[in-house]
Amino acid sequence: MRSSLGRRLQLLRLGLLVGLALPGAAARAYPWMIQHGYTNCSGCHVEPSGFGLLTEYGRAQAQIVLPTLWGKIPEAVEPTTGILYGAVPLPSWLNVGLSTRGAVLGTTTSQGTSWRDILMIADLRAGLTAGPFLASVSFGYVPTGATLAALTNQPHDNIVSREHWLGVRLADQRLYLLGGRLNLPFGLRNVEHNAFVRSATRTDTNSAQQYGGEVVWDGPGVRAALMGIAGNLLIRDPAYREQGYSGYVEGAFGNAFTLGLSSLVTHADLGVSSFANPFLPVDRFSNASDVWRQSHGLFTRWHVGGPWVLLAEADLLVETATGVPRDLGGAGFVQADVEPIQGLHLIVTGEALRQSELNSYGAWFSVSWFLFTYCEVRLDTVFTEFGVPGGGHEPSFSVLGQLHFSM
Amino acid sequence: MPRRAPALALLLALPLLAAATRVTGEPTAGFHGRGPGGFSLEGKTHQLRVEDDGTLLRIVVPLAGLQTGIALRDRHMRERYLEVEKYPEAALELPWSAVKLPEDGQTAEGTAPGKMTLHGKSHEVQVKYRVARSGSRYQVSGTVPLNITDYGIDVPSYFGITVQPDVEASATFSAERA
Repeated sequence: MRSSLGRRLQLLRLGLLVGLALPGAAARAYPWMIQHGYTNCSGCHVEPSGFGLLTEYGRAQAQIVLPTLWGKIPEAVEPTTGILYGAVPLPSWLNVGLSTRGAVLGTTTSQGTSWRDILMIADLRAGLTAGPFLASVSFGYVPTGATLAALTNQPHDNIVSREHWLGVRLADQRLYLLGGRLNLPFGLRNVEHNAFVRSATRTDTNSAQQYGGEVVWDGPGVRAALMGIAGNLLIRDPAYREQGYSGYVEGAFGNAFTLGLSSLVTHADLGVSSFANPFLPVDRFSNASDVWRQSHGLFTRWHVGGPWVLLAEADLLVETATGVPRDLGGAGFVQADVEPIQGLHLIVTGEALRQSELNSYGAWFSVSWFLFTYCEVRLDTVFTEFGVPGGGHEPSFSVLGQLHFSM
Repeated sequence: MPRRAPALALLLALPLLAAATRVTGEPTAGFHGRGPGGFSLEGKTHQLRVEDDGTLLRIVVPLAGLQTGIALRDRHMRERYLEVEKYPEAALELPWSAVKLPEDGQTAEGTAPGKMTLHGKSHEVQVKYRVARSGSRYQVSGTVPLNITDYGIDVPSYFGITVQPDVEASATFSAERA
C-alpha cells in the first residue's frame, strides 16, 4: 500500500505531465474551415501553411463565418478591418493579433483527481508586408509550459516567442521562402496540440517550432512545404537540438476534399523526452545518443456536406538511438466536426498511439462555441486509456474548460 | 441491311435534333475562380433551364441563387459584381449543328463555339462539353473559360484578396429528349 505522500507525489507528477501535455488549443488554426471551401490557408493566415496571425482577409472571415451571429443576418455582417473590434485601424502592410487563452483542467486517474488553472496563451503577434517581403513575430507570457519556445530561462513565468521569421513571396504569392523559427510543416495543423499525432511527432503549434529555412508552394489545387530544420536554438544545450527536415504535400480535389502526405526525419546528438504517454516511467530515448526520429504519414480534410467536416491523420513513428532498440510505432487521429448553428462546433475525436511498444487510445467530446466575434468558449472531455509497462492500461479522464479571446 | 444503316442513323438523328429538351434531376451550374496563391472560389446554383428550338440550345442560369458558401460574399457577388437585379440571368447559346451527340450507350466529347451572355454583354466562347447517352436520356457537362472584365464585371477585391478575372463557368445536368 502506497503512502499518502507517495500517492500525492505521483498525482502531482501525473497532473504536471498531463497538464503540460494537455493545455488544449494553442491558438487559431482551424482545418475545418474547409467547410467554407477553403483548402488553402494563406488567404487568412500570414504563415502560408496556416496558424496564428491573421491577414486582413482572415480577420474579416473571423467576423463573418466564425461566430454565432445572434439573429443578425449572415449576409448583413460588415466586418471591420482593424483590430480590437475595429477600434484600432491597421494599414494594409501591418497585421497585428492578440490572443489569450485561459483554462481550467481537471484530471482524474486511478490515483485521484487534480484541478489546475492554466494561462495557456497570452501572445501578441505582428506581421509586416513590404512588397514581396514578409516578417512575422510573436511574443507572449506563460506561467508554465511552452519551455521549448521560452526566450527566458526560468522554471516558470517565461517570455515565449513561438515564431519569428522573415520571408519573401513570389510568383503571384504561390512560392514562399521563409527563414527563422517556424511551425513544422507536417500533417493537420489542428488546435488540439496535445493530440497524439501532434505530441508524438512533435509538430504542435504550442512550442514545437524549430529554426530553419522553408520553401512553401501554395498553388491552385496543391500546397506543399519543405523545411530544413537547423534545430530549436532556444534549447540551450546544442546536443539536444534536432536537425533534419519536415514537409508535406497536399492535393485538393475540388473545394471539399484534400489528401496530404507528410514526412519528417530529424537527428539529435542526445534525445529529449516525449510526453505523448505520461505513464511511461522511463523514456528510453531521453538522453540516449545519436537519436534519429522519423514520422511519415497521411492526412485528409473532407467537407462531407452541410455542417459536417471530417479530419484524419495517420503517422508511422520510427525512433532509433545508439544502444536502444528501435521503436516502431504510430499515431492516428480521426475527428468529426459538426456546426449545427454558426459558431457552435460539436466535435468528436478518436485517437490512438503506439509508442515504446505500448498502445494508448483516446476519445474526445468537445464543444467549441464562438460566442461572439473573437471570443470562444470551449469544453473538452477527454477519456484516455494509456498503455502501461507490463500490460494493461491506465485510464485518465480530463475536463478542460477554456476561454479564448483572439483578435 | 448494311446499306440501310446510314439512312437509319439519319432518321434517328433528325428527330433528335428537332426534339424538345427537358432537364431532369437536379442540375448544377456555377463558376470556379482563383485568387492569389492557392486561393480559390466556387459558386454554385441548382437553378438551370434549357430552351431548345431544334436548331439552337440555350442554357439559362438564374444568378440570384448562386452561392459561394459565405452569405456576405454571396451578397457582394449579387449586388456589387453581377448586379443581379439588372441582369438576373446568364445564358449560353449553342447551335445544335456544332454539337456532336453520341449514339445510345456512348459518350461524346468536344469543343463547340457558342455565345455567352452575362451582365448584359455577349461574347463568342468555346464550350468544352461531354455528353453521355442512355436511350433518350443525356448526361451533359460543360465548361466555358471567360474573363469577367469582358462582360463589364468589376474584378472582385475584398480585404486584400483580389480574384483573378479569368474564371471557368460550368454546368452539369441530365436531360431527356422526346
